Amino acid sequence: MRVESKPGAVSAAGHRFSVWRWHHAEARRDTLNRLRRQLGSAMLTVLVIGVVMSIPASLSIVVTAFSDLLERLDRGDSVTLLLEDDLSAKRVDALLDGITDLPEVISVTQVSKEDALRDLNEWLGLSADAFDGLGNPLPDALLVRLNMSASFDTSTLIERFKALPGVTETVVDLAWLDRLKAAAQLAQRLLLVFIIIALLASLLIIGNTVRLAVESRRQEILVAKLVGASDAYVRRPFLYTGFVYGFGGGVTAWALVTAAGMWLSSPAQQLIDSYGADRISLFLNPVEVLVLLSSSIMLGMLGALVSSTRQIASIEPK
Amino acid sequence: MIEFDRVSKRYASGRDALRELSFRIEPEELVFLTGHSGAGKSTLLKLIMIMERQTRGRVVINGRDLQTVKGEAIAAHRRDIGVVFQDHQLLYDRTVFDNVALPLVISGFDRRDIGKRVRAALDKVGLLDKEKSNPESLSGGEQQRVGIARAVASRPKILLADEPTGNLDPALSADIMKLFRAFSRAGVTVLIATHDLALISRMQNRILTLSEGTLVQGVLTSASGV
Repeated sequence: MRVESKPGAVSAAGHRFSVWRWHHAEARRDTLNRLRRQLGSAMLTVLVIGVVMSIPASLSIVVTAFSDLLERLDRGDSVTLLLEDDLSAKRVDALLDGITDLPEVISVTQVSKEDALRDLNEWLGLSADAFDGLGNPLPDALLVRLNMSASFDTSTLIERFKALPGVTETVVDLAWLDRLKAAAQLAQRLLLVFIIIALLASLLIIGNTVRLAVESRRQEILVAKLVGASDAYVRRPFLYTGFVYGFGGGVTAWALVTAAGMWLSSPAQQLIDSYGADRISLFLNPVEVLVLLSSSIMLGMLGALVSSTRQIASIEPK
Repeated sequence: MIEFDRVSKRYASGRDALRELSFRIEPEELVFLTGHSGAGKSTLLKLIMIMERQTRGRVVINGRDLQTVKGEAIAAHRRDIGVVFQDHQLLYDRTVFDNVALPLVISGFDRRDIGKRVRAALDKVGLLDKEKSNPESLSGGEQQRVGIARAVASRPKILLADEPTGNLDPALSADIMKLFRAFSRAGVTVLIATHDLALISRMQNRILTLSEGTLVQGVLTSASGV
């Protein structure tokens, strides 16, 4: 690079830096001019990227809200206490009374071993006398319903139940919760799949758009290379193009998700309220917005980088 | 300084464009390169620009063996060479001024300096009043002169020209040649590929004549028999 500074004016490195900054400013100006000239097609590209990016963004809101809800439901609503064999009716009554008096407890139901066996037979679809002669292996039990709206630590309470005389074991009835959690896990996997699909789709869209942009400027790139432009110099406007597409796509996705959130918020809250749960948010929080914007910008630049590097390398003066 | 040392170039098609070519052009020298089309003129210029690589031998430009110039250094190498193309290679989406300024912008000249240099170069080729025009609106000869202005604007050490007077009338051709000569006197190595034998004959400069990739005449000081 020819350094044409006056003696003592600026150092060579300072000069290179100012040239570099100037080249960047020129590339930005050039990019914006070109996008302005093709506003329609540029907007369309931004819109497509925005729509694609809004799918994982909105899905992530649903998954987050769902997981959040599960977190709050994680206290379990009932506990079964298995009792010692041959516990006298008097001691069972005493236990029952003692537990019922606890503020965390709504109700306690006694389930005798006979009732339990009958339930099991029914559940298995066997006749009532199927286990006759084998004896009843099931213990007597107490079914304790917990007060979900009170705040307390479930595990300490269960430890307290376990320590009660006559109680051999506690079974927390969380089967439905397990099912919900499995569903949540599936939703999270699904979210990952959609994120990957959206990332790939955005990359391809931006890559293809930039490839066409490079191709349409073939002659200019050829001449620039002939008079000594480096690949980095030629590539710069395309990277800015990728930046603009990525940023625009991110903002569009944010707007779409926010609009959808506003539309869904009130019916969703009604549904949540009917289950007695707290408020949920159907909007992206500032951190999520930042992640959405930065990832779409990075995608835009990455797509532009890969596409333009390949394409520009293939344009060599012959 | 341009030096070819037993340079051969064989294309992938098997055609030998240059065979064992050796010559040396000193700074301040202006040399013509002639020969029928297909004699290897374009290949020779392309080797200097690193648009092609030789199959054998050494090409040394300003003391540097081009075999060692790779990657980004190729772009830097091209910035040290001014080239006038036969087909102008101008950009029609910008003004004459911006076309001439392109190599200066790429080389990172000072912004105020660029304006001065572009106008000085346009003045030399007589197109100062056309700086705001689009090259498309200019005649073929004028476009060629814009290309010359672009090649000399950065005052390169080496100036290559491929048929620079092809579209110009004799008077203008002579003016352009005077310009090239002035450059060579200022220390620039000038190599001009041309068919314009009438012009060469008046210039009394060394002539390299290529035929089938080899040098027919290394030195010719007058236009004997042309």
